[in-house]
Amino acid sequence: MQCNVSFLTRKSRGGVTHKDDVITGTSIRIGRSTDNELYLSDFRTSLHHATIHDRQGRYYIEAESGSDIRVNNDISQSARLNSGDVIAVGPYDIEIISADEGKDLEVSVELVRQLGDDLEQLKQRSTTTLAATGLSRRRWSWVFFTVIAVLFLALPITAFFSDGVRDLFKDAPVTADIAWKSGDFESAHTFFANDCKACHQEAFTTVRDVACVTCHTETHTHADPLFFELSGLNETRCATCHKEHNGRDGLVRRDEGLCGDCHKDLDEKTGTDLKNAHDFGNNHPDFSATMFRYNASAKTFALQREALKDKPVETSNLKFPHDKHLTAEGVDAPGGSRVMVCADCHEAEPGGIGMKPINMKQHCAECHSLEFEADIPQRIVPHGNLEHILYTLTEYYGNVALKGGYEDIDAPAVVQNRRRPGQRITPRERKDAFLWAKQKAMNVGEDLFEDRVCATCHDVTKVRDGDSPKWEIAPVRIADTWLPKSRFVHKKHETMQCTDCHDAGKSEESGDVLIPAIDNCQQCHAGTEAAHNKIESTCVDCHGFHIADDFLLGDRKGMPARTKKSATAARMEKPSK
Amino acid sequence: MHQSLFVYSGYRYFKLSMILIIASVVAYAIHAPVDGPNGGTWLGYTLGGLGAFLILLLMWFGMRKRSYKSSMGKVEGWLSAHVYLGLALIVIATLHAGFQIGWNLHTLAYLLMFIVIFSGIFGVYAYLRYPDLMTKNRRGNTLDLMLIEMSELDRECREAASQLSDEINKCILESSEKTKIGGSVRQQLSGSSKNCATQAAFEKVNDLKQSLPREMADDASRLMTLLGKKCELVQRARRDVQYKAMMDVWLYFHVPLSFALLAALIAHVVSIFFYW
Repeated sequence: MQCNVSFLTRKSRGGVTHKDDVITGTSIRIGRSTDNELYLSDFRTSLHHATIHDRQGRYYIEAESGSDIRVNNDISQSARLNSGDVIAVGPYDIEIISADEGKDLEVSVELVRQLGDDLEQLKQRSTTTLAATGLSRRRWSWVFFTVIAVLFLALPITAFFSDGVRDLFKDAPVTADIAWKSGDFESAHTFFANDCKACHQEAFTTVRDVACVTCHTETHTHADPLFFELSGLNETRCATCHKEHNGRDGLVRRDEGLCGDCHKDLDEKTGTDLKNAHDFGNNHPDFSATMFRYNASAKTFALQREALKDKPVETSNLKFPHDKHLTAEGVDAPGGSRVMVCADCHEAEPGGIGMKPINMKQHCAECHSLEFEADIPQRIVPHGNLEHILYTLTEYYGNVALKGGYEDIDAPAVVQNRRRPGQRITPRERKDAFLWAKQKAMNVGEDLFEDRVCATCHDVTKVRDGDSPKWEIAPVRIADTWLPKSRFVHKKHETMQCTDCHDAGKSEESGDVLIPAIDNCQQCHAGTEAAHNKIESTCVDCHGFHIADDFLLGDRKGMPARTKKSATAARMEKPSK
Repeated sequence: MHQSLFVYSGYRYFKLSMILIIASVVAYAIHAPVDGPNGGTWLGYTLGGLGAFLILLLMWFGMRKRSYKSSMGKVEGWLSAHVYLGLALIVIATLHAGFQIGWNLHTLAYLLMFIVIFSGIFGVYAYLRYPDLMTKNRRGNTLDLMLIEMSELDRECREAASQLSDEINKCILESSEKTKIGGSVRQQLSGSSKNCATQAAFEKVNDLKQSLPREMADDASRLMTLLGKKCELVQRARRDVQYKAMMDVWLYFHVPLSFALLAALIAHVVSIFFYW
């Protein structure tokens, strides 16, 4: 057979060139291998791709095993060739121009599916920079900036002005309020603290005291705001000292500056009589005791402060020599001699701060019996009121007189004589008996008051003589604290002996103020200056700030005025028992 | 270049940073605020102001390096300052916060600052480590030249394989049509040649060549040489992409998160004065 082949090549500017060839053979093999009659060099063609056979003048094409051909776009393994057919072999199209029986085969061959540019394709497949993957720094910058600005700036501000917006996000893990929270709250504030507006009532304004005083109406101011017209005191906000958002410990200022900033030179600033103080070790006035002073003519007590170094004497109107009670030999007690200790009378209060009040019945009466008849020690007069004592005595001796048989040679016969049961006495005898009883009661009373019992401890004065005499006992006030402006916790000092501070064993008079001077405390305590080997104690360890008795924060801040009895006034009115 | 970054102008910015750090630490140690160290004391505000100023200054580096006409210091100086002052910021911001952290915006800003700074530290590390490795790996070529060489090798492989079996030819075809360099972010960063078409072709052709007739042995061994060269080239190209990706990837954290930080910083400052 003979085949006229025309190899077509298209030019880039249009137009086609062709190279003609004539192939002869029994069959025509097509493929990439150079031994093919129709050699197609493209590597996408198989070595031996297909063969054209001439069978009795008709032309057939058959694909080699493993290769495909497409006859007019249909995948096929073999086909008879007709004029006009297009056979695709790899990237080539073989167009059958003439396949008429008995005539030479005429075909054109064209590489129609050009192999693309390797380099271009490789570059297209390869993504060699991160930017080419679609990542964009600029886009993510905008996204992050916007998200955070909206969530953490716009939203909290909107929520501040609109409760609706605030409620909308109240169940979010970070609410508008929590997002801005700068630290943990004092525990007492926890229940409302997640609502910022409870305290921060206006934007771009510091927290006003009115927010604090909403609850803290009963807190005392520091001093009389009119007397101490100090800008540093009266214009200072609560939050200056009470720093919220710092956890529990941050809420109360404890540094010396809290007090020392003003009290360092308070006298110059205010002309006050108060002494300057700013450091317990180096600059603190001597202790002054606040004592009861009795004005005998006015019969009233007044509180008076005097420096301990001046050995002040208190007038409690009680006679009590500590030394006699604390002798090593002991005191005469009902059961015999007994050595007393401080704790027999001084018992700590439940809070451990001070001592329970001294009480006659509990602490004194066991030894200091109020009996008036030696024979019947169980009969005692009541403690406290002289008139009641006289009543008790009159009642007792009246009963004795009526019963008779009382051994008293000065008594009328009716009192001395024993009577049989049911034996009546005359009205005259009765009168005698009562007269005697009244006089007896008065005599015993005078004896009790002035010599035997009351006068042991009290100042007793006979204020009226004659038929119905009258005595008065000076009222008693025993100090519960001599340093009311400070806070001394006995419990914290329980490793020490009472006598380390209170030299009671040598005290002969109840007027002695049995507390030590400042140097005793300074053995262990110092301020923050040079406190290397001592307990660093700042002002608020002993003193409070909110101490003005008669002034409440609620009043100062324009809240409804409240009156509260001052602690001093309350102490004055409370008698000792 | 990286040397000058650290020693720029006689360690000028290293010294400045050390001064800032030491001054902050000393002030923090001496300062004993009544409510414990926190951002609201005078030292807290001072350190906070300094920190905020530094953040703005560090971010301005992004503007300065793009502004070629600017006469505001050399870019090298800015970069040196950027690195050293950025490191100082860790100390300054931590002391500003007084070691307080919480579930809030303020700690978010702090956290973002840390991510930004640490991504920056990685950036410094990348700029110290990878340019050298890249130079060695490229052997005087560029990635473009490597790609050209690769496509050239593809052509040569095809020629060498043209008289070899169809199966071998198919391998070569796949190697040239499916081999790619880089790819997704993960592929770029890993530099891995897993599932590489060239590698697969190399192995398959190596197997197939055993069964080739003797007269084709020359072609086959030439093909193997070419494929081997291509394998090595492909690996180097991928490593080049990997190094480049490592040098770039931190910026995708550093830059967007620094803008996140800027937003958080603005919100932080506004919130402080809003609830003054």
